[in-house]
Amino acid sequence: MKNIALKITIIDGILISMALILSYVERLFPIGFIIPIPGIKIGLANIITIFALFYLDIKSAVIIAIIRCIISSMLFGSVYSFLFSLSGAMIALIAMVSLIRGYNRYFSIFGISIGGAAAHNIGQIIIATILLKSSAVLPYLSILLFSAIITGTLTGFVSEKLIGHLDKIGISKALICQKLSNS
Amino acid sequence: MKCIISLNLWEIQVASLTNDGEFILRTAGMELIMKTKLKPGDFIILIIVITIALSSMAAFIQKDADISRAIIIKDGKTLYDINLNKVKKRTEIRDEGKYNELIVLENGKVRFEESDCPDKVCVRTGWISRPGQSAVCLPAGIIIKIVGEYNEDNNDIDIILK
Repeated sequence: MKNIALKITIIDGILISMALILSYVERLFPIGFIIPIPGIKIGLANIITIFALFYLDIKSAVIIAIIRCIISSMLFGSVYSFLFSLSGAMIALIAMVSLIRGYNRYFSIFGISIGGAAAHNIGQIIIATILLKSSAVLPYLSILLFSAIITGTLTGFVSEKLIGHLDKIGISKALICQKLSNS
Repeated sequence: MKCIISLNLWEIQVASLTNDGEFILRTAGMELIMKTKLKPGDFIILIIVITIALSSMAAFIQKDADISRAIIIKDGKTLYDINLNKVKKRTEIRDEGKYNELIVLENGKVRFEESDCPDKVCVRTGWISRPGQSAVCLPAGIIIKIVGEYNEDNNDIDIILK
């Protein structure tokens, strides 16, 4: 039993490092210079969160999200970006956990991904409103949400491909077997 | 009879020979795209997101005001409240703090001209002049927002037909 817990911890670590690489890669796209609004990101790291929600458990997904936020804002950001990314990631996780229950019946992976991206932006706007003590940032929400539809579709497509291929290769089957024997 | 003929990271090609001797080559990757079906819940999520986006956009669009005032707020406190219609000459406002900000008013417009903040989002926002617009410097905690005032008797009706 200890062995399985250790394996899951190692998988968490690998996923955190993959998420960090993805958040570095998306920094290379200069979206901020095209649209001068903070917070518009492709959200590539969300792919890792979706993967963790599908094949590991909620606990692992939360751990991955928190540690990714801490490390990525230590590497590239500031205290503000930490608060923004953490609040966004937590609200996105809550949205995706509740949406994933209806997977295959009511929602496809696209709906889950778009819902997560939109919730991420709503969380950022809530924190910005609290920090600035003003609702002046509220109009940004419309631009952020329209971008969330585009980026959510993109990450949904990538996650769909990723999960499908991992299913074929059989890695995910091994993970699910471990999860079953763990519980 | 089935055999896998090529296996790489992106696609798994499966060649199968049926009993009739027909040779079928299919790509697993292609099959996945065809399997991707949108569910009704997806459209509900899309509609909800678009509704929220449009309703917050309504705050952006406001009719032309008679008087537009620029309000400069720092950390929740109003520092300046300026009538933009009266601003013709270049006026500079400096804020010496953790990040030195230079706010410039000219010809009924206002912008952040210089800032020491790391991301420079406030400077890239550029000139703002219409009611409902705002420029924000998050690291320094400064907001410039433009508010409109409307006269009651100056309404939108051009002509009344009887």
